[in-house]
Amino acid sequence: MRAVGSFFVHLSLRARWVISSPSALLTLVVFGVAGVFFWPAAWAPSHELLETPAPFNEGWQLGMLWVMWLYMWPMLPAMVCRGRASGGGSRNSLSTLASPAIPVGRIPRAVAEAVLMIVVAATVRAVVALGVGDLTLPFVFKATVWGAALMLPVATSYTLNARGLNVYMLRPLVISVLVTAAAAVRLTDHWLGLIAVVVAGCWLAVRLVDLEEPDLGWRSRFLLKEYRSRPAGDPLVRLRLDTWTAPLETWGPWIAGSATIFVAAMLLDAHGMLFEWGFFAAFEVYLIIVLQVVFRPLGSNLAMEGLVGKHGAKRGDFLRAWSVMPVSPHRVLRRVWLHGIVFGLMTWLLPVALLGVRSLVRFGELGLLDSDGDSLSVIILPSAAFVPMFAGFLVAACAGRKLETAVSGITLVLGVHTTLIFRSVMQGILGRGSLLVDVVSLSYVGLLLVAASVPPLLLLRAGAMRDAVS
Amino acid sequence: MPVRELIRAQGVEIRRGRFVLRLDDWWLEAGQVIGLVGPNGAGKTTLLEALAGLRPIDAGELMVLSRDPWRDPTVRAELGFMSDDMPVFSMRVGQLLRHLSGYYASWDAELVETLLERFKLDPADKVHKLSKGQGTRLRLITAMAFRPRLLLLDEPATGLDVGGRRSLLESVLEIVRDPERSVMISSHLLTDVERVSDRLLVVDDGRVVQEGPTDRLVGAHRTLEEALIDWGAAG
Repeated sequence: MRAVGSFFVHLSLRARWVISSPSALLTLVVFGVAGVFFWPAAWAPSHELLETPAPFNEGWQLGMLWVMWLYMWPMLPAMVCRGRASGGGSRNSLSTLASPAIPVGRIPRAVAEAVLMIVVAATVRAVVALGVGDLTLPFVFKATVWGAALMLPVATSYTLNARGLNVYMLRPLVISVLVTAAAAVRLTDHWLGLIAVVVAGCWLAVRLVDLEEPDLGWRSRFLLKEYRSRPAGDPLVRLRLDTWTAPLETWGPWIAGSATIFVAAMLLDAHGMLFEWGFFAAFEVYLIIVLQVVFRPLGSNLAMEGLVGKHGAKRGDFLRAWSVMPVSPHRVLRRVWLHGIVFGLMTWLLPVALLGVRSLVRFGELGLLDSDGDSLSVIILPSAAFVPMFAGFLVAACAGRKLETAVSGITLVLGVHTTLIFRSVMQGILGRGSLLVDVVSLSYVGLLLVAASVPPLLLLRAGAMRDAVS
Repeated sequence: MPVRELIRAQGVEIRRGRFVLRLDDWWLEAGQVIGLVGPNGAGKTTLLEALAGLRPIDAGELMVLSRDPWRDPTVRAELGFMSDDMPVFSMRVGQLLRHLSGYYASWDAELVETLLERFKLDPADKVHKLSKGQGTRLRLITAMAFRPRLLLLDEPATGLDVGGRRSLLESVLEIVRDPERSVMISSHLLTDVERVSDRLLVVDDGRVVQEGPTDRLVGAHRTLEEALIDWGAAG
């Protein structure tokens, strides 16, 4: 009973904050409006909601998309509205809490955060869906509640701080996969099963935060029995070198290993020797590992720690840590941008190249074809725009610029999630096969690209960082 | 003009909202420890940040090691800055020191070994798992490891135990045995400041209220704390 009371105390506190915070409210409204098309439900190209939204019913590719959406989508409101529900670590449990003095435990806090954002978004979604479509109230109600319930454990896992970004990202992934599996075997079709899955998912989300981040830097641990220095030279030359070597120091062997597995999976798959979704599973493993480097410009994860509140790291700590060193802040940010571009391209190019080679071996055609021989070009090629968008986001996060980080981050998430939906909607309006669909869709991607990547570029100018450093 | 001056400030103004810090004509010679004291909000941190090139000045001329610290970041190759809230890279202590060593030609690996021992830090420890006091010790090591000609310390004793404070003072005194180097230390631990400082710079509400040799300013019959109260700069 005490936990329930605490839950409502925190809920009311946070509800007042969300209502009075324009950015939080706007994010939730956007999230809810987009939820008309984009909600945990199998998505049909005709942009209609399916009545029985069990993933994998429409094929494994839609199932994979379903997982990705369930996994990534709640991140948007969680990043903006998250009230630092729990410290999660041994040292930062108090300092990172919102209103730490109020007697509310971390589980009621975390669930209340998630419930608040999901309820607001679901309400907006239901109202918009009823207003713009000819959908019936029972259908909208059922689909909205069903999707909201499944999103709740994932959103809960995002509301909890973790000890590292990789754990912060992995936990919701685990929850997403488990929730998807439960839905795929139709455990969630009955409301009792739905409640059981949601409760179990939330419980697991809270429990998983206590897991210690795996220490993968075993090489450095053994090498650091004694302190060693390294040759010094011109700081700018060193900065240029560190751009490439520092991020790979710990994660280089892991990336090489996952890339090798990925290549092997491609070769096996190209010759029909791999189970159906093995190639994409290898891609997911590669992606998760390579992202560890992508998010660590110059080998430091201070930028992302500042975003997820780890160890009391603050926005802009990355650049402040560099500010006492003999290099200009704008030069550091330029290297961060370059890191985002190069490592982002690496993330994008390898899968594209392997998919091309696989298509050539398997179908005798150089293209981006899936297992059934259908072209994936329309999905994959515009996604190259995410690379400069990501680089912009990284620069803004490292500089500690709140507005630019929010704009780049939200635009990037929108780009990842809404590009296909936008294209589908345009096809519905303009007709399939129309050239105008391609033009409008590409313009949409271009608009997002400009919004996400251009403002952070201004931070790369000399002297632009006056406020952030001081 | 003194030959061995490390800092030269003329008509300096630094604005931070409605607060203005003014430094009309002031310089710091090599081979000295200067204590920067004053109440909260007096402008001590603002001044130290400007000297380190982390904050621009709004008027006047500020030269550190004959360079403009805001425009010329290379000055920080010879200038150490330590503040208790300065973030450090999240890695192992040894990795961090190795990383930093690549940026300073004057990095002294032997000195680092000594400081690690003196401040009782293990290179294998993770930075984000250090206690507040250990974090302060690490920041001190990173600021001193390259034997800077000018060391700026902003509240360096925060979170330090008695042993840590003794090690800090010992290190400061060692630095100024070299007549080419100086230390500027800002702290509310007045007994420590009084013990190590050759000179004092007392600021209050953005103005310098006293400046000169510690012995002369404080006098033989009162403490620095009593002197600050007399000057109306105790907060």
